[in-house]
Amino acid sequence: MSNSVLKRRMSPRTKKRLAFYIGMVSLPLIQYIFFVFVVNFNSIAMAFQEYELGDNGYVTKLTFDNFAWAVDLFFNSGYMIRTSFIAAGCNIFIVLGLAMFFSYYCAKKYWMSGLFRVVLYAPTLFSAVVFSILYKFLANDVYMEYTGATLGLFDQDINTQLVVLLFFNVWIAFGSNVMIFVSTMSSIDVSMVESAQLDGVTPFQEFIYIYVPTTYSTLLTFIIGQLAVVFTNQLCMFTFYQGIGNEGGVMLRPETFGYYFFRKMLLADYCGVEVTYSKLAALGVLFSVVLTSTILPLRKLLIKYGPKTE
Amino acid sequence: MSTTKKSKISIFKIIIATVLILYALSIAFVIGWGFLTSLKCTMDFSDKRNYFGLPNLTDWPTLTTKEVAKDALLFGNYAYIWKNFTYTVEANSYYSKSGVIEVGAYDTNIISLLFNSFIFAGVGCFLQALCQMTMGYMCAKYKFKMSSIIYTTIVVMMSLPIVGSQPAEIALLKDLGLYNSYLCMIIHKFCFGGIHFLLFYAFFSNMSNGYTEAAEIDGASQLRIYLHIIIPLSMKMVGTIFLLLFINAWNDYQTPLVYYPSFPTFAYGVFRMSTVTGGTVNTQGTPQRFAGCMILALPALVIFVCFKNILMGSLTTGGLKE
Repeated sequence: MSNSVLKRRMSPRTKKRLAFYIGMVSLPLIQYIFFVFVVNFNSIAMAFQEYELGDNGYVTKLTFDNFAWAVDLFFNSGYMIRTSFIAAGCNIFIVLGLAMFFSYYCAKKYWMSGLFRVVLYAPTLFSAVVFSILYKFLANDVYMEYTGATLGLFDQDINTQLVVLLFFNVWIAFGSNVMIFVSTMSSIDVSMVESAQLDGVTPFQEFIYIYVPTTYSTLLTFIIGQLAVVFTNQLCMFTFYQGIGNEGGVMLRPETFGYYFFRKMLLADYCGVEVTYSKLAALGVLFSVVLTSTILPLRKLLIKYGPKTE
Repeated sequence: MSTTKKSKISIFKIIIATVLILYALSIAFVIGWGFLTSLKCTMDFSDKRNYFGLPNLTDWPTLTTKEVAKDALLFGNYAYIWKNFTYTVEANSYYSKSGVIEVGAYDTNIISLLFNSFIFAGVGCFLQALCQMTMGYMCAKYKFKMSSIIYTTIVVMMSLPIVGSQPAEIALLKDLGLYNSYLCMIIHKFCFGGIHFLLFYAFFSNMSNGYTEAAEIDGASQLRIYLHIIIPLSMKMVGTIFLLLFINAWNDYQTPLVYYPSFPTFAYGVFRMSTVTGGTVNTQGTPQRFAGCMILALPALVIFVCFKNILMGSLTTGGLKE
């Protein structure tokens, strides 16, 4: 019975399809398993390992020092945590807020909306390097020339530098998010909007009571996305500061966890350096644990208490 | 009553339009200023501090300096960068399981940087778009158990905020001897997952089985169906996703810096050009650097101008549409 079932299931056509399927998915699947599962498993494993260079390459031993280092760094880096959350706050409240208004304008096809959509997409076309080079020159040399200041904006106190950086990041942040908001808003049922208009709603009321609730799931995805990168967002600091941090520096630089993590990663090695791959792996695991334990419940709360379309 | 409403409508729209106009002007100003600066000679820009004026062609003491200024206006800085931009890629040594691997320092030029960009952004993103399409097709049209496992895994992994695994990835790539190589560049890009996979999955799920079934009845093999029916049908979507991936990868300088430091792309070259004066990077001054920036921006800009309707249109209905 079971053989006949098997035979029926594995007809020549199915066999051919299965063979082709295996042939086509094998390589991408191996790549995915390696770069997602093996790498993440290795990240957890490395967090508990310490490397030492022996005669025949390096040897590893079990340790909890990496986590001790990561926890100590995390809870003693109030400034980096604050800066990271300020950056996330800017992205959520300013960038996404403005993006919603801009998208509404474009989706409603108001005056020059086509041109504005292109302009909003422009920063995505240009590398952040290009904009940062131009912006830094304006904020430093041109600012000094026209104001008579002795220091450029990027050489002033740490708070001014942070504001200048945040402004830059907000300035270049409209691109794909506006495009996706526009696409979501364009798919809103026209009859709903028209009946609201017949009831005499103003565009602002229309935006608040129709467009925001119906695009809330997209907005929520972006909010969660911004929170998920709170510890990896560099605020383009590497582009502006080229990996210079605050260790032994004369001038204080603003720093997010993302920037700290990235520049340490470039200098890291298995052993023999101040920050090893193992320590950074432990920090990465700590980030993931903190984010998973906060974002998933937060997402549920936002879904439960967020605006409803009914 | 209606007058009040109309004035409210106007105010709301006017406020957004004003902000958008200011934003558009700021973007246009910075890009225009960068382009204008790239047409000035260094003496004009840096010595005379002609930051915002048009290129100066008259007020020069000698004929030679006047010629230099004229040359700059005729894209001389672009020609200079094209011919003279050199960059010394630092030596790199690292441990792997097979021992210490040493990569010596070497001089690179713009052609070499553009070649690396072509491999990274062109070949890599083409493979990525193809891989996404293939996996989307396989999972949508081949209803094996593995397909639903793959789909569920992708969705679950997308919802988990797992970050900071790059150090372990670098260590693993070094162990396998893949770190810092063209092979790594290709393998890295030959991936699927994320929003693009889901878009292809949705696209193929909504596609009628009529084409493939008719071809099967006519005796076409699965490979033939894939090559002669599926790829042509999804070519527009593959092309759109390729263009989006290409623009991102072309502008990305951090991924090559982290994973293939001995194979810097042009974006990384421009980053170095902006940060290092003299020494390992050979550029003259700010106008030349801005010319480098404009050269970097050119391919993405050309792609956008040529495929504006496809790119903007593709993003206006349901994220991406076919």
